[in-house]
Amino acid sequence: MLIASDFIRGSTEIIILAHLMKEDSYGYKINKSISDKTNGQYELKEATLYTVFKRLEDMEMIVSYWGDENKAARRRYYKITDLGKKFYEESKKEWEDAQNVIAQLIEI
Amino acid sequence: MEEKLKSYVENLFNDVPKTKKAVDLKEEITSNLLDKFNDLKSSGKTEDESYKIAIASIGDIGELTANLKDKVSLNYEGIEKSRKKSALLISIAVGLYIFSIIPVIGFGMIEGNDFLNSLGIIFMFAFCGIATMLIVYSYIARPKYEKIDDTMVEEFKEWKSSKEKKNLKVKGIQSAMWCLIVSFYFIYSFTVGNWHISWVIFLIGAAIEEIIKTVLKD
Repeated sequence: MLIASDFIRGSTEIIILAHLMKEDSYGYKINKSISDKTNGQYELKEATLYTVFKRLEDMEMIVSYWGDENKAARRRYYKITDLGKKFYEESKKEWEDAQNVIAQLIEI
Repeated sequence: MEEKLKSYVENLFNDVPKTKKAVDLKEEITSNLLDKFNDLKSSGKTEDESYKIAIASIGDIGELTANLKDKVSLNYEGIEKSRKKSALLISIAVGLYIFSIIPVIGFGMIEGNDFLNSLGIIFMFAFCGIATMLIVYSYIARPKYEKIDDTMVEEFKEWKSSKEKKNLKVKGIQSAMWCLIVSFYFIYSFTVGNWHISWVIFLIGAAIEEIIKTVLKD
């Protein structure tokens, strides 16, 4: 059972930024947390995840660094920048405004 | 099974140029997949199931890898464009060298007017000067090789290119200098008539050339 994914797809950026507000994180951990929070109703495709990471990195909202786990493949961690934090706060406010407007409009 | 996952990701990158970005993305995908795989396994799924779920979660990375490919070919296009531009500049310069003799002949045919005769020579030097400027400009302005990313190969290419560019600069200066020396030799010798001594300027020129080479080396 997947909830309307089109709605969510437009908000992928802010979802990822929200996860990075608390602490630095990496691809799988973020996706796992998204899945857990929505009781498995929603999960990003990895390809989407990397595309968004790249976009956010290009816009200098996040930066990445390699973890130093002793493993076959290192984890790539992402860290939110000040610009990213600002963007997150603004997007969150915009989202809340939009939510109110839509809620009012779809009421009969 | 972990090896199987790794080689699956490896295959996704088969036809992607091995730039640093591509290698990084591959490592990132691999580490996240392994995390997911191990997590699924510890939640009670079998190895086979875990593998299948992990693979299915990747989705279409075609767009991502296509971006990595585009960058390389785009760069080649730019190089090709600037090569054409510098070929045009050099052709114009060579044309100017050849035509520079025309004003000398043209104005020289007017007899009894020293001013117009020397005007021809002035035009010739102006033509030569502009032509040399064009050649020097086209050598220096040629874009240097830009690193696509920071792999060793790219670093070597950049180093090689910066070295070549310096050599081209030296060559440009050299050809301009010899042009000037030859002109000076003729002007001086014809006007003063000191043919027995004026050739020394070539020795001086050779000495200056060596100095320029030493100064600009590395």
